[in-house]
Amino acid sequence: MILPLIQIAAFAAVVLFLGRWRGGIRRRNSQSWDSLLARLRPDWSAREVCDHFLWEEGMNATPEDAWKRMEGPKGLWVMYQNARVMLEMADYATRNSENVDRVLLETLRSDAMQIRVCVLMALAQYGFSQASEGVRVNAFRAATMYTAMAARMTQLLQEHAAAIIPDFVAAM
Amino acid sequence: MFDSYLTVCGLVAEAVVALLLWRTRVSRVLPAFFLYVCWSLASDAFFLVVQLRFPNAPYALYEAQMVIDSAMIFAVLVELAWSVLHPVRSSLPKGSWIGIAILIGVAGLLLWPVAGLTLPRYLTSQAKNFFRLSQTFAILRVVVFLGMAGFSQLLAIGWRNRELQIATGLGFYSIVSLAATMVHTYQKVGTQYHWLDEVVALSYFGALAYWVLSFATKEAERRNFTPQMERFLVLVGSTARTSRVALREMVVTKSRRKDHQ
Repeated sequence: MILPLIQIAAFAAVVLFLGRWRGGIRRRNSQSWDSLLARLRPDWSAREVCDHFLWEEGMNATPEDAWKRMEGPKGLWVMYQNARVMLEMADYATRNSENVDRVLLETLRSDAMQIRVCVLMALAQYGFSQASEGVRVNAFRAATMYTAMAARMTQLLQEHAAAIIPDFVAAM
Repeated sequence: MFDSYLTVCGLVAEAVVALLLWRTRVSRVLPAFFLYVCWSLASDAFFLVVQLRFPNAPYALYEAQMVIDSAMIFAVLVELAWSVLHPVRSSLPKGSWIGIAILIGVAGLLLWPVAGLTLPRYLTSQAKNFFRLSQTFAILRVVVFLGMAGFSQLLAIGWRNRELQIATGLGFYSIVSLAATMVHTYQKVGTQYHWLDEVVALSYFGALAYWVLSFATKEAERRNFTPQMERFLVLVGSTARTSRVALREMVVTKSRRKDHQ
C-alpha cells in the first residue's frame, strides 16, 4: 500500500515542478529590458566588499575580509541572483538582435555562470564546514568577477544612461 | 473504431508537423526530432495497414518497432539536451554531446532493473520485456526532462521557444505515458486496460496538435534593442574577458605561492 502512495506523491511532485519550471521559462522569454534591470536585487551591495567597486575594476580586500564584508551566504546569494539577471540580459540580446557580437555574449554567459558555480560551491562547502578557507576563496573568486562586471556596467551607464545610475548602484 | 480514427488523426497531425518542421527549418537545427516524427509517421501508417490486413501479424514486428522507437527517443533526448546547452557550448570541451549520450544511456541502464521491480505477474515473458522497455523509456524521458530542467534552473540557462515547445509536447506525452504504465502495473488485462492505452494515444495526439499550433504560429516579433543596450552588453562582455584573465592570474599566483612555501 505504501509503494503506490510513494509513486503518486513522487509523480505529483514531478508534474508540479515541471509545470512551474515551464511557466518560469515562458515568463523569462517574454520579459522586457526594463523588467530585467528592475530584477537586480538591492538587498546586499558589492560596496561592502570594495570601497570603489563601481568605479574601479578589481578588489581591494583579501578573501577573509571579503567574506566578512559580504555578510557570508547572504551576499553570495544576491550575487547568484544578479548573475542570473546578467545571463537573462545576454539571452534578451540574442533573441532581439543579430548584430551583437556572439563571442562577447558567450563570454558574458560563461562569466555569469562561473559566478553561479563558484557561489554554489561556496554555499555547499559552507553548509558542511562553515566559513573554511575553501569557502572564502570561492566567495572571493565570485566577488572579484562580480565587482569587475559591476564596475564596467556603471561606467557604461555613466556614458549612456546616467539617469538610472542611482537605481543601479543601489542594486549592485 | 475509435482506435483507427485516432490513428488516422495522428497520421495527419504527424504529416503536418513534419511539413512544418521542414518549412520552418527546425529540421536542420533538430534533425533527430524531425527524423523521429517521420519515423512515427511511417511506422504508424505501416501498423495501421498491418492491423487491418494481417490481424495475426507476428509479435516480433511490434517488438522491433518498440526497439527502433526507443532508440529514436534516445537520440531526441540527447539532441534536446545538447541543444539546450547551445548558449554555453563554446565553454564546453569538444564532443561533450557524447558525454550527454553516455549519461542518458547510463541513466537508462540504471532504470532498467528499477522498471523490472513492478512488472505485473500475469504477463508472459515476451510481454514482460515489451512492458519493461516501455516503462524504462517512460521513466527515462521524465528523468531526463527533470535533469534538464533542474540543471538549467541551477545555472540559469535560457531555453529558446522552439526547444521549449518540443520539450513541452514531449514532456506532456511522457508524463501521461508514465502515469499509464504506473497504473498498468496494478491493473488486470481488460477493457479498462485498453482505455488507458487510448488515453496515452490521445495525449500523443494532443502533443502533435500543440506542435502544429506552435510551429504554425509565427515567432514573437523582436523587441526594441537599442544601440545603447548593445554597447552596454559589449562592454560587460569585454569585462568578463578581463575578469577571466585576472582570475587565472590570481589562481596561478596563489599556486606559485603554495609551491614556494
